[in-house]
Amino acid sequence: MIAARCIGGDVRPPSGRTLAGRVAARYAHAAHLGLDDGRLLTLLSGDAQRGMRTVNLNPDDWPPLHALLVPGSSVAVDSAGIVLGGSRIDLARGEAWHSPPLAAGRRPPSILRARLGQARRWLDDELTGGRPPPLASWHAAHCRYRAVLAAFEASAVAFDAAVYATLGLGPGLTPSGDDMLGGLLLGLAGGGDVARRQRLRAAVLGHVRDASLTTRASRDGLDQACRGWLSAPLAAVLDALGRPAAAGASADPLSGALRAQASVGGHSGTDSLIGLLDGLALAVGTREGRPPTRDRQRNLQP
Amino acid sequence: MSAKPVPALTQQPLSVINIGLSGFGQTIRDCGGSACDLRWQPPAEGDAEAGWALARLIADERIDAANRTAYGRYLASQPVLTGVGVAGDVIPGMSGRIILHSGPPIAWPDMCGPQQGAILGAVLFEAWASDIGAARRLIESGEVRLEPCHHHAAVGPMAGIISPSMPVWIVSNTAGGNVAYCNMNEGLGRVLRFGANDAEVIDRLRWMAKTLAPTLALIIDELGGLDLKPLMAQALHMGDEVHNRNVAASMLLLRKLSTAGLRSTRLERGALAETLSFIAANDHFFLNLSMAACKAMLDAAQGVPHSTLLTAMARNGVEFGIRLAGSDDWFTAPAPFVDGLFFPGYGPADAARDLGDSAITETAGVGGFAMAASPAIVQFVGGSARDALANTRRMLHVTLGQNGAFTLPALDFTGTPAGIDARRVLDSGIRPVINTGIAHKEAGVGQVGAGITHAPLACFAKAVLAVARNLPEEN
Amino acid sequence: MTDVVTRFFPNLYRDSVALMQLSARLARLPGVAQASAQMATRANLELMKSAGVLDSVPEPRPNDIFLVLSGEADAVDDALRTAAGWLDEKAARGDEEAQQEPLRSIQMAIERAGANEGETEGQAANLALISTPGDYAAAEAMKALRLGLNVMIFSDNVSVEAEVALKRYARERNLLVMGPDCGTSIINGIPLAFANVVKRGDIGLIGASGTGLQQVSCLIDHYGGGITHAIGTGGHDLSAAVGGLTMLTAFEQLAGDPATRVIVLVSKPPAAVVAETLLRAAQHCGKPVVVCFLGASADSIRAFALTPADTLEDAARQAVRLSPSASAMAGADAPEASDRAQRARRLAAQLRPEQRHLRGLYTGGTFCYEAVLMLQEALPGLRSNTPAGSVGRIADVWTSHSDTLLDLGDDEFTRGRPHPMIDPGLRNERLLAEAADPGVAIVLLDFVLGYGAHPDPAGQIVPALRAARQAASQAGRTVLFIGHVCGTDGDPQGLSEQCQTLAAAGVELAASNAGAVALCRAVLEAARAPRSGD
Repeated sequence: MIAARCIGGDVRPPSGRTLAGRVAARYAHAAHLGLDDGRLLTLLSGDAQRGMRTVNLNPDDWPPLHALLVPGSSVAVDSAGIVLGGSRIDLARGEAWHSPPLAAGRRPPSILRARLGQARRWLDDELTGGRPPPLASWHAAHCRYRAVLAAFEASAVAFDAAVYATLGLGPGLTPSGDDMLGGLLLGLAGGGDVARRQRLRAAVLGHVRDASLTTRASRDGLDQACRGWLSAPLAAVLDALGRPAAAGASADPLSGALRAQASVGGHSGTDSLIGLLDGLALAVGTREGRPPTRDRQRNLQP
Repeated sequence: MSAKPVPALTQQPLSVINIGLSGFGQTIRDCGGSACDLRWQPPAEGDAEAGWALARLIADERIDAANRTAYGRYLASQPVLTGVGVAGDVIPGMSGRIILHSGPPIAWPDMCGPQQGAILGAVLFEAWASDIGAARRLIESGEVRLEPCHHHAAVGPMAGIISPSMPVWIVSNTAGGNVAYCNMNEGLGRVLRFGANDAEVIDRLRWMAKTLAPTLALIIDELGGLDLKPLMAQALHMGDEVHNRNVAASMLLLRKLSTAGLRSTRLERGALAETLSFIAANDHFFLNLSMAACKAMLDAAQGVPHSTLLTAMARNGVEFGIRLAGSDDWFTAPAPFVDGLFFPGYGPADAARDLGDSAITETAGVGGFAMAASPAIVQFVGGSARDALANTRRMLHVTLGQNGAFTLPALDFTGTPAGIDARRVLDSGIRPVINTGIAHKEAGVGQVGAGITHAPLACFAKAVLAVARNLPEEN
Repeated sequence: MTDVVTRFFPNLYRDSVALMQLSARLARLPGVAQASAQMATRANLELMKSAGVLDSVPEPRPNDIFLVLSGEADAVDDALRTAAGWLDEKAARGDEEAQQEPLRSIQMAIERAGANEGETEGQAANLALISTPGDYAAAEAMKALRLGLNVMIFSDNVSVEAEVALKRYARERNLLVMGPDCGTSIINGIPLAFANVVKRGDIGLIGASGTGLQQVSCLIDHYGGGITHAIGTGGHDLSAAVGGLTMLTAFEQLAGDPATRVIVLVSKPPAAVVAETLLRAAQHCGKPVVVCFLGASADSIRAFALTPADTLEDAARQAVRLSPSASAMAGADAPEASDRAQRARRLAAQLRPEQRHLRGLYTGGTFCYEAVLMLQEALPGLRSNTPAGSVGRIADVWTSHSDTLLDLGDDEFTRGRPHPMIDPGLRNERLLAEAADPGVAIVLLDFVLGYGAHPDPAGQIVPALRAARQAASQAGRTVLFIGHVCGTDGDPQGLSEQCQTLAAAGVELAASNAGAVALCRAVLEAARAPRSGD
């Protein structure tokens, strides 16, 4: 019996109900369980990254569990635990994690504007700093994503087409286009921009059921973004953006939160962040959050 | 194969593989060039004909493609324990008087002591004869067919005897549709698989057929089948290599069986208690299931023409045989003796040659190939945990890849080396390592030790020559 | 030709950074223009089509990795295999490096190099140098070729059938098979097996004979030229059975090598049909070609508008003359020739009248062969174990008669013992025996330097020379020792040092084998001529 350390709010089915599924993928320190109801649960060693469909486990428990997570093997989930192979992950006792509410009221626009600029500059540095040069498809995803931002003012058909063109585009297990749009959805919601959020949500929901659109992990991520669910690192960023800067820069929770979010996945962390900051900027009506810079724009040309 | 022009050597910086005189490699390095020296030995133990045949199969696109297919089927296989049955009812081609044995085909007079003893025991168990003398006459009369387990989708450890009334595990590959069978483990000491055939042995076999098997059948029914890959994977993380060490796997299995058995209302308590006690007393109980699972995985790969992937390594105590996915033929060489530790009172003079179908586990990428998971195993040859790691690593050079279903904590959770390519074995001279028990050469004495042995290269030379013969000339 | 290949890797999961690193590493492989590894989502696939990477959009398989490679057809195929290897997880090597399995096969060596790629940026192996016993050499060579490597086979005793099979396979794939029985090559400045350290330049050499290549490359160096590559083909390549397959490939490669401005072919005369093919190819290659087919008529080469050379020395001289970058030809017009007559008279004067004969003790077979051709008219009684022209084969190699030239590297001498270039024992014994013959005027010698040769050939012969000289002088005679040193100052033994040692021991040295032979001829002629004056 392995006790889960932290259990996302959407992991446990209602009492008395058992869901079957299979191990969809296994990585060195994470695994995806695909459930028959379409959800994708994530098992994670360590609890740096919490989420609504994530089960965080003690790293000491991970090696023996890893052996059982043979892709394709069957799993069963009920309200008490996850059964796989000869073992069981206890879900009854661990700490629960719920996405904090997105409501905008507690984040004064003036503070948000100032902090967004700060975050934007940090992100620009991060993106131009020592990361491996992105693939052409990242640039393409970025271009298309910019087109989505521009198309909020365009016709419904044009907007829908812009969203469709962005989904599933880019490198990674969760393609960059998806991550940016997911972040954008959360940013709009967090900034209280109800109209734009509804518009984007409808467009994404209209396509996300198409299994050929994008990877299973990314479809699930988009589903969560549509529901307004934040992962813990994104929630920390949003929270820090709503508070005035602290006196000492090193003590500023914003930079720590940004760094933690940027370290998620290969590019997912920064891509979601781009979307989140843009969404907030659109919502509070600031011209900050205008990535990419001129130089970068030139790089986007094929 | 179409010609593929490559950039001229003269247009590339030179990088040399030096084969032979090491001084030549040093010269190149002294002059600022790049060279690595091979520690070269004549391939195929100096058999120049096999060496030349092998050379012409290296990087052959037809073979490589066949191997990808066969290996892919092996990797994709999902062995599930689906039930327990009576051999004569469930194993294909088991009608009439037939006894299956381990290893490649062999005639009665040529068999080793333990295998002969076990076959006589099976005759008594089937009640085809009333005493040993009559049993021997019956076998000598040729009225009982003797065939390898491997010809019937089955495997058996040591003597590997399966007769029609014996209970067998049924393991289905749900990804490929094939089914594999294995007999059940009787425990240690005086047992049929080491050639014992006295009343105690026969009585135990009868109890297994009458009580153990029906009980297990009900429990498995209650369980609704059991995925074997995750169970084996978990056991590898608990110090087993599921060939010669099955302590953890047997306990994991017992845990499954006991909870399901206790939950069931259809079971008679006495029979359940006897069954669970029998299993609990046997550290090797899981071995036969491990073997059936491995057989199911490898049979999935069978029948891909030109493939050089090994689908079986098996020994009958006289000959060691291998089979390839590309054909049903056996390629044999004299079975080696096992290098190992002997139980007190026994020594190398008591040992039979390598015996049994259990090397199916190594063929499937566990057993000796997963030795890194099971450092305890190397104590049988006086080695260290480091040697266990080295053995697993060495096998990476003879396999087509690594099986991600069976991960090794000691190697950063990478998979066990899996999918032996006969070409790679012959080319590198690295012989597949096998963890195994040592049987006494006399029938019925039992296990006298355990240790490590290696597949003889001569089988691989024969196999490669046969593949070369059957491969059309490249145009 | 640009080719695009694609491959799905089902249910493989790598994060975007890993995929990008994979793409970048693949794109760096030679011949690969573009490489991209992505999840096979609809949008990613369509992007590749609109970017012109794909002609059509395959069915999306969003949970699979999709790899697209474009570039030269062959390079792309290789890269695809490489990528598949990288995507397969491999056991971490970590600090266990020391425990690594020794490399036991070519395939293991290639895979080990592949696994190390990325850390070392090493060039993938492209040549297998094979010096195993001959019975196994062909098999190793075939494996190497099938794995895409060029091959140099130092080993001999490879059957003609195997040689033809290897060379046919290689020829279709623009791979080189140097050998069997190829003693020397220089590729991109790196000496292979027995080779000299020569300056780099713009002259490319192809030779069926090891010592022939060494002589020409050393003399080019001496004359102020330099070489790009020296490609040995092995001695049987120009036979009718093999058909010069390696020489043709080598020739095409040098013809297409921008650094090579002059090409030199060195060989005994090929089979007629092979010569025709080869010379025709040379005629149309667009570069000056010097042809030194020892013993062939100059006219047969001029007929193809190529430059003939009758000795190895002449070949080097012609090549340097034709080399655009080595026009400073000072060394090529050796003062040796004009001084030779005078030197010959001086040496001849030391001989007694009955000393009329020449004994050549060669370690380099081609030198012996060249000497036979040069002396066939002057010495009608000449015999050799490398017969050529009008010179017949010696009946018993262990007994010299009148004028005799021996290749001590021949099978009859080397069976069961090392080559005389490595072990001078045999020649030292023979030298004493020849010098003791009262009819012998001159013992002709060669000394081959370079990698693989004895570390001090000159020093090794000094005691034998001293003993021979002493014995002769006690008998009231002076025996002449004439020779040449094939090497450069860049060689580990050092040309100058070796020459000084030999000169101090009384060896009369010429700059080349041809020079040494010419000196012998002049001395014998002078000795046989009626003496004038004193």
